[in-house]
Amino acid sequence: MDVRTALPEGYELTLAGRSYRIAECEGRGASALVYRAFYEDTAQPGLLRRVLLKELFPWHPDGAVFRDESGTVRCRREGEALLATHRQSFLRASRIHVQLQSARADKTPVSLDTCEALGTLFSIMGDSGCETLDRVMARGGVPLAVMAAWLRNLLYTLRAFHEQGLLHLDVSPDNILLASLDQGKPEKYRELFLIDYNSAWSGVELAQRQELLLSLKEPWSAPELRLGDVASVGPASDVYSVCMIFLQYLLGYPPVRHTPLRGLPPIAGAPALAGCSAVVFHQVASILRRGLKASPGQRFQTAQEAIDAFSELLERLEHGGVTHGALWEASAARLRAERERMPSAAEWEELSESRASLLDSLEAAGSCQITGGSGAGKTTLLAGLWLRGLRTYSPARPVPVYLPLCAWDGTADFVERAILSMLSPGEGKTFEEARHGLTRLLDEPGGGALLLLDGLEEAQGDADLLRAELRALAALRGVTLIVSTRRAVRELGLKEVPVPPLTETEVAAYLARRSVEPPEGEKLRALLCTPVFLSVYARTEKRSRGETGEDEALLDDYLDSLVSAAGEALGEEGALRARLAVGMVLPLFAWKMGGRPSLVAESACRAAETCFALLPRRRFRRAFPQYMGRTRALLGGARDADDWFGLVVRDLLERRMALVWQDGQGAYHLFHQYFQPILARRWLTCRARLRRGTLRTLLPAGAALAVGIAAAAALGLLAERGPSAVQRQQDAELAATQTVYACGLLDLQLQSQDRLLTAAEDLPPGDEAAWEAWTDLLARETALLEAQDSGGEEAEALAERLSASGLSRETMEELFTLPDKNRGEWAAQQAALLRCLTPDAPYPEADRRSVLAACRGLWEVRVREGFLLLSQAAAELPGDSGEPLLALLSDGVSWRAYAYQTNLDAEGYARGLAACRQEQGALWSELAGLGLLEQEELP
Amino acid sequence: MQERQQFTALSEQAWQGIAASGNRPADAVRFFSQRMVPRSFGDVLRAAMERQGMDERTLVGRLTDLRPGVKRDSLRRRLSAWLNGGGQPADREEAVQICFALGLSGEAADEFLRCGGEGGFHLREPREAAWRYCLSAGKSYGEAQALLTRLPNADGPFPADGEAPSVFTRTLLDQLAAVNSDEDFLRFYEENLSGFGRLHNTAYRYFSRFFEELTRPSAPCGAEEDEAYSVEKAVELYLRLNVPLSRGTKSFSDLQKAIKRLWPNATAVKNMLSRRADVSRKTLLLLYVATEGLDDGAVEEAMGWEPDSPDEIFEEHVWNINLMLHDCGFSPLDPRVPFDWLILYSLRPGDDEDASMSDRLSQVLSLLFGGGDGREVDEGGANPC
Repeated sequence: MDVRTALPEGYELTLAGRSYRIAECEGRGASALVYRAFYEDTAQPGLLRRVLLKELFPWHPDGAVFRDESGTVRCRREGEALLATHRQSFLRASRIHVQLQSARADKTPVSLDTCEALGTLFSIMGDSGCETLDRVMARGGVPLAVMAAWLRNLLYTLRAFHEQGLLHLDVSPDNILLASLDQGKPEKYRELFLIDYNSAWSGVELAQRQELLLSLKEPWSAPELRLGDVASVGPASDVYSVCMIFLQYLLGYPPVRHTPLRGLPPIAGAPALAGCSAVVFHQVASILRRGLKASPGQRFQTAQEAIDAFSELLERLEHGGVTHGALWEASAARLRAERERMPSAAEWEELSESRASLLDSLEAAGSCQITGGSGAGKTTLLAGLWLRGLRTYSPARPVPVYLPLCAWDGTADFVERAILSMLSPGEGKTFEEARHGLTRLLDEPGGGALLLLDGLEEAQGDADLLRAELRALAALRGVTLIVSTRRAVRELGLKEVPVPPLTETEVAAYLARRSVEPPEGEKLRALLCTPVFLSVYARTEKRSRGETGEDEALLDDYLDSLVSAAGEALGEEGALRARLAVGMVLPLFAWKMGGRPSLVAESACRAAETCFALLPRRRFRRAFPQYMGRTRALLGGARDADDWFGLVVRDLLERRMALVWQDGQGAYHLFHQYFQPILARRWLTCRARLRRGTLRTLLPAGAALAVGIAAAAALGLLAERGPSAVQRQQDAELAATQTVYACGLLDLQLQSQDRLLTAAEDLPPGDEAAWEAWTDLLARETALLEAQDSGGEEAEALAERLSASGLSRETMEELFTLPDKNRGEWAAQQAALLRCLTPDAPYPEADRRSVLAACRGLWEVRVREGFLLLSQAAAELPGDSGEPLLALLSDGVSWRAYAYQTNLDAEGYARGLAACRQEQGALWSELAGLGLLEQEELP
Repeated sequence: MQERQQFTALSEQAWQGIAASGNRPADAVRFFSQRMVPRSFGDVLRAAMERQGMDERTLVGRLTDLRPGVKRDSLRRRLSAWLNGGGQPADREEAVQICFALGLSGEAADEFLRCGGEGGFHLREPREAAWRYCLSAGKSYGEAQALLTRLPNADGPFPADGEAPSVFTRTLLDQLAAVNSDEDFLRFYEENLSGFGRLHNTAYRYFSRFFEELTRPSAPCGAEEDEAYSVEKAVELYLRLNVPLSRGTKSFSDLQKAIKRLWPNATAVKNMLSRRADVSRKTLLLLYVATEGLDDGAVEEAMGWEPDSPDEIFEEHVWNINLMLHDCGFSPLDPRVPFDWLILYSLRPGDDEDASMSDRLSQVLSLLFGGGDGREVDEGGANPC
């Protein structure tokens, strides 16, 4: 128990002729008591000056050193040795204090004098209202950034101490003073001073003296002090104490030994680290790991080394600087933002997890270009590498940085500037310094950056500059460069790594995790081997199963997500143009492609021109009221069709949304051929709406009339008076639309059958491989035809409903049922083909040829039949209602050869159709005569 | 490194033997059995006599004064034998008498006892605290014995040491430093009466922590998940390390005997766990090796830190172990003590990164005791000692 009697408040103490009034006892140490006191200014009596008085008064467990009634410090015999030792130490500390003050007054509390009084020694020091660190830490609530700054400032003080050839050797929170701070000045500028120099020794003294009075204070004293290994004592011993204070701050209590002996102290749950980034945590842990090594040689050897470590931590906390850690932080921040923004981001992780081995091999591959078609999963792979690389921080691993190349602005050093834009140069650093810092960082072996550059094709304009920069980057020692591109770019000089499709197992596992059934169609199943479709399918299937066709819903969802993304990048007007591009231009492309895999550039331009011409038209606005009043936005500043083509096709459909791509010959391809028929059908619907828009243009009061018609119908008036002109016109429009729809399907069916028959005609007899390839083609084409199931209203009922259209019911029924009829007949032909074409079929070659010839004949007759029916319907429809049918005849793939035969009269159609029926009958008889089909299989 | 500077050329040779052996057990055994010069009690005694400027005759005279019942010739022969590398004091009290006879200070006596293999003063024992105080105060052995007679219950029985000891030797050392008179000491004794005991509490705390790590499921270096090991199994798995179980040591060399002496078996460990026996230095060191100092490197790996070099790992382990031993009042690692040399050898990672400290120790012991099948090491299997 401490029984030392302190001088009472108000006590007048005379030191060197000056009177000091004691205000309070501020602290009690093992060797001294510290008071706050005042004295009067000599020239201005009444003006009080504040000082701290340190009284030599060592603690003795039995009170052998004590104060008598007069206030004098006295000593019994058993306390004499103790007092003498401490007296020497006290005087020595005063000398050191003065030495330090002379050398570094900015880092040392003011020492004014040392005097003898009351039988002991007093040291007079300036009082600037400082508080000890242990008191501040006991109150708690000091943020990590503030504590890190304080400890760095303490290390600056310690560095000044060491520069004087001295070691403090008693660095602990109670020996650290926090200087007062100007109001409003940030805490990080607060100075910290070291006091109590009783244990301070110079290196020379340590080397020479056997017996040293060293203060041992658990847990702050370094191991070499505890073990009495004076030879190992050095600056690292003081720095150890600072790091121990840091650990004490994090834990909230002074740590004890025992657990763990090695490894990281248990700071994971430290409140001060709650919510901090991995880089900050890593830096904190690194400071503790190095600073608290038991072996002095493995610690920070100087205060400066620790200052550097704390500076790096502060930069991480303030998100400044151009360092490996700063880059990691910046990349992680961007990833967080992307994950919030991108609806598909949540699935990146899962897909990349399921492709872990692929990511492993990519990481091991070094710089490369990953290639694959649209939706092949290139972005997912890059995102996977991005996510994996940012899970934990390690200075030894490259920081993954993801950059979409669509943002390329056509100027030099794009990647460098993009990275620097993520960083801040750091306190007091210029942009040029930051740039040099980045160059250094990227050219250092080990650590460095993994640059994930997505979508080389999306870089607009002449990409030579970009390619040159990428080549230069790939040559840097700290850079691993992975570029995604649809086709390998030889000029990059990077090896090509094609993205493999997802395996069936991966697809099945992905769908199973979501309790989603795989699609039934082979074609669609094959489509799911690309991550983007798999993801979209799973979401679509779960949400709208049974409401739309699988593929339709899949496409809608995919297109919606692209439009949303374009909107986020380009704003609301951009989104509007994107919606038009996917809703009208893309379907027109698909429709114009017919059965071909691509559309020549000229046709593509014409298609875009068609759309462009529609924009200012009233019928366009009436057909698509969502665009009403938005013509300017849809034009997007384009002065002519060419401009608009660049804006909508090249920028939106090709670069940004990757829905079309151009081959080496300039022809445009769809992002996936599978969706061509669906999109083509959408154009037909689109065109039908435009036709209706035309009708409304012709009838300015159309809307009012429609209401009137509805009201009249409700009153039963129409039934009495017969169909009105309006009703007839509307029925005619609808009948035309339905016909176009049905014959559009028929056109696609006939294209598919043509492909199969052509392939079958080339099939060598008995060739297993060729047969297998043909059956694969058959499966794909069958899936395609299944996807074109018309559904909808029964043909008979529809024909009844559209009785006022001007078309005969017979014609309508024949037209509307034609796709189904063709599908049924084709099924029979297909059965015959399968039986006779199989390599082990028992039929002679002549029979095979006969079957093929019959099927080809039936196909040709069907084409002609379709042409005749369409032409007939076009002729029957009133006014220009039949125009869409004529357009279909001219644009439809199957009927191009008949386009010049559009001048037939009604009799001519009838004769032609009759001849068709006759030929069909003969061909079916021939087919039946070959004995390949059962009776019930014949149509 | 701090330890190297403390010892002589022979110690330096022992250190170099560790480094030169790499992780090749056969090389280690060869050095150990052919070039190792174990530190004997006589070495420690001779060094102390030199420091104190005392010759054999004076020391024998002083010891005779301390032990009037023992003949001078007998003491002379014993001293001569010690100085020639044979044997050591019969018991703790004899070692302490030598400290008094040498006129060592309390701190020097503590060091002498540690290096002599006895362990420093255990201040939770009244007798040891009194000896230490008297040595520090420059009192004679006789005065120490007289002081002991004034201590009630100096030889116990003491309060049972519970599961969670709270009074530690170093706490008492801090208090004892302020004791300057017999009266002080008596007061110190009375104040700490309830905290006295025979067992090392700090060592027990380390021991418990280590052993828990070995038997607790899902511990980083201990039992498999869902399985808690029994004491027997833990001892067999982690502490036996190919040391023969048999009690007989007649066929063993001196080195083998020195190593096998007091090797902990399951019974001994159980007694330590239940605090019926004190935790031995040897057991503590073996547990440190088995648990790799409670660090399996997982943190380093998770944080992506560059692994330390073998030299750095070795040095850090040595410092940690010495701190632990110091906390417990045990002597630091001494490369000229056979068992310590083996521990030091096992601390240094070798070419095989996956080999644990236990693996390395076990391989050398296997060769040393000839129980290995020769497959674990690169050569030999015969007893080289």
